[in-house]
Amino acid sequence: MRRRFAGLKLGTKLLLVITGTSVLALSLACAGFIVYEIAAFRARAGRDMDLRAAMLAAGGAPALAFSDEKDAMKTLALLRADPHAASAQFYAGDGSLFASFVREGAREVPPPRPASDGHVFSWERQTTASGVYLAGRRIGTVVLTRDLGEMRRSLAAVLSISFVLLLGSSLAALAIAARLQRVISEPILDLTRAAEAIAERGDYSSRVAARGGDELGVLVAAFNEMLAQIQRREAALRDSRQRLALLVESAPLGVIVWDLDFRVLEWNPAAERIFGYPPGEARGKEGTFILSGRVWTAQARAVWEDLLARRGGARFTNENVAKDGRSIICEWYNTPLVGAGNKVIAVASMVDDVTERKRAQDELRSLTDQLERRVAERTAELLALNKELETFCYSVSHDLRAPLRAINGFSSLLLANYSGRLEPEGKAYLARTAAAARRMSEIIDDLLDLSRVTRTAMKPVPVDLGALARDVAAQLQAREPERRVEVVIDECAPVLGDPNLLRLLLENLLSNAWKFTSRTAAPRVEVRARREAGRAVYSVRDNGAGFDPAYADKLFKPFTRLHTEAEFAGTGVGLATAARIIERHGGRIWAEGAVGRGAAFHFILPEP
Amino acid sequence: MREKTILLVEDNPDDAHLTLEAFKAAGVRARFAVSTDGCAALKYLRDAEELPAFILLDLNLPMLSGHEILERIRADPGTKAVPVIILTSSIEAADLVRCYALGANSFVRKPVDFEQFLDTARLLGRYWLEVNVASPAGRA
Repeated sequence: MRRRFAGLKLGTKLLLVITGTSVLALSLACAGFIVYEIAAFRARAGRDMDLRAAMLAAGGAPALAFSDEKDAMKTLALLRADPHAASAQFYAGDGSLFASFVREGAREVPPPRPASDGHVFSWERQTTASGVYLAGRRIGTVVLTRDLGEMRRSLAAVLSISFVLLLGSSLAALAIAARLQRVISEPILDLTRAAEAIAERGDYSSRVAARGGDELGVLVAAFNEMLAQIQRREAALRDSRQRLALLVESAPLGVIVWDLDFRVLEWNPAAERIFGYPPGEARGKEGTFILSGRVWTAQARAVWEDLLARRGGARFTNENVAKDGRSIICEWYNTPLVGAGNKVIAVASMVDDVTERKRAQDELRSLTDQLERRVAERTAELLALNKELETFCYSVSHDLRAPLRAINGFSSLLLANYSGRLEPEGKAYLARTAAAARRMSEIIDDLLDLSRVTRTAMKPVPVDLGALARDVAAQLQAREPERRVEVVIDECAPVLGDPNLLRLLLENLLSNAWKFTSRTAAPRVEVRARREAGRAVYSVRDNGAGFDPAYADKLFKPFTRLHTEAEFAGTGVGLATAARIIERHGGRIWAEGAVGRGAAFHFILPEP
Repeated sequence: MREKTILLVEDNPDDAHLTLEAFKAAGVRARFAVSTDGCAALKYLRDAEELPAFILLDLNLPMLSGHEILERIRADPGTKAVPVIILTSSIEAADLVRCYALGANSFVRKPVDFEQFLDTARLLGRYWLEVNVASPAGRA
């Protein structure tokens, strides 16, 4: 029964519960009413009968005392006026029937005398027995019987009214319940339908119509919210899957997933590009098909076992073979895929064909080696050459000088000791010979300076150019004490350089300025320091002979002279030496000037 | 007073000749002894009755170099006090430093110009023959 009820539809259940409850309540109410009615009737009838029995007992007592049956019958006959009275009897003290009255038409004979006084009810009648007393002594019993037809009719009426009422109200309850149960069952049915739609079609977009604010309304709202969340999550998951798939598809690296038997599960287009097998062909194959020799190699085996045991094998470079038999060098990045229960369920690999890169690397390495070898060779050669140059310079300074000294010396001796025997022209020749030798010695000195600038090791320290310039200017002045030259030297911030080389630089530049102002009326030599574009620029300027700016770039080449020896003596090496010194310091030098308007040499040096 | 002796160690006969001429022209009154190599110079110093007033020593010499000769002169107690003037064509700083380290008294670069050489000879003669004369005790 209960199981059958459980199988019913929700609406039917609600209907049954509501209707059943109201029928039961009404039935109980009717039953109570009837019971009360019967009890009330009995109480009323009891009091009524007691009164009549008392009246009969009072009237019949003398007749019983004197055994006057006639008089007793008269007393009993009074009951004729009572339509309910069915019969009445007097029993004598010994219990024998003394007089009896039975209403005409009554079917039944008088009932037997009850064993005790009181009321006895049956469906048909009520029998009341009461004692008859005379002078306080019981002399007999009166028994009254009353037909209960009236009560039965009244009960029947009550019953039929109750029934009609019950029927009517049950129908009404049914009708109301049929309408009201929808309020509860409809939202639940909606929920059911939505749940079915999701279960069957996976359609998370359906929503249940919102209802009032009761528990069902809350349930529906919660259900809808849950659907919305699932829908969002599903969308996110789908997006993420799509992205992942796209990534794998378009990845430049080959992506391969292996099952635990080393068979291909996944194979992306990049893997196809590398190995030549389309995904359809590769899937399901054992991985040995891309191993060199198409069989397990010891290295591959070791890596595979390490991966399964999660010991490593994450990265290795391997020689593989493509579909067309080409041997390729691949770089593998592997990772075991761990599933539920921390067990390895598959292995994912990313693979890159590095054959070209490897070859380029090897080539580069061999080229680098070659280059290094060549550099080492050249360095050794250069060192040897440098050594040779040093030796050469040493011998130049010693051996070339000796003959010059002889030429100059003997010419001078000739002039000094034998001038009497020489014509003036011969003396002039000898003087020129001596001068030529002296000049050549100067050239050698300057060349040695130039080569020393290139050869000597630099020891850069902060140097005060201003102090150095003042020192050099003082030397120049001392060499030609009779000359009057205005010298202006700025205070200079320290520069980083080799003090010996920087002194040589200033000696060259200042002696140049000194020399080229020798024919100027008011000679002036300046050493200026200024900042230009964040760097210190130094200038050695004079107001001397100047030069044609068209040849400005030739100035710094050795043996280039823009003036004749007759105008200004010089070897043409000094500025080349200056430029070499600046170059060795990583600085820059440039010249500026015009014929007859002086010259300026500007340079930049590294600052500390 | 007897003329003092100057020992010139020079292998180049031109240079030797010019040196003598320069000192003569400069008016230096001294007697010159000339050795063309180190061995001869050391032999001269060993055998001479009187040590020279000073030695003019070239660096670039056959067999024994000027440095070696200087080293031996300074190592010998008999000659270590004799002034030695290096007279060379070298302008290498290394040579100069080494010579002073070995005990040279002066380092003079041979000028190409004879007039300059003459000035140099005059200065050397005046200083080492007249101004800075070693005491008799120093010559023991």
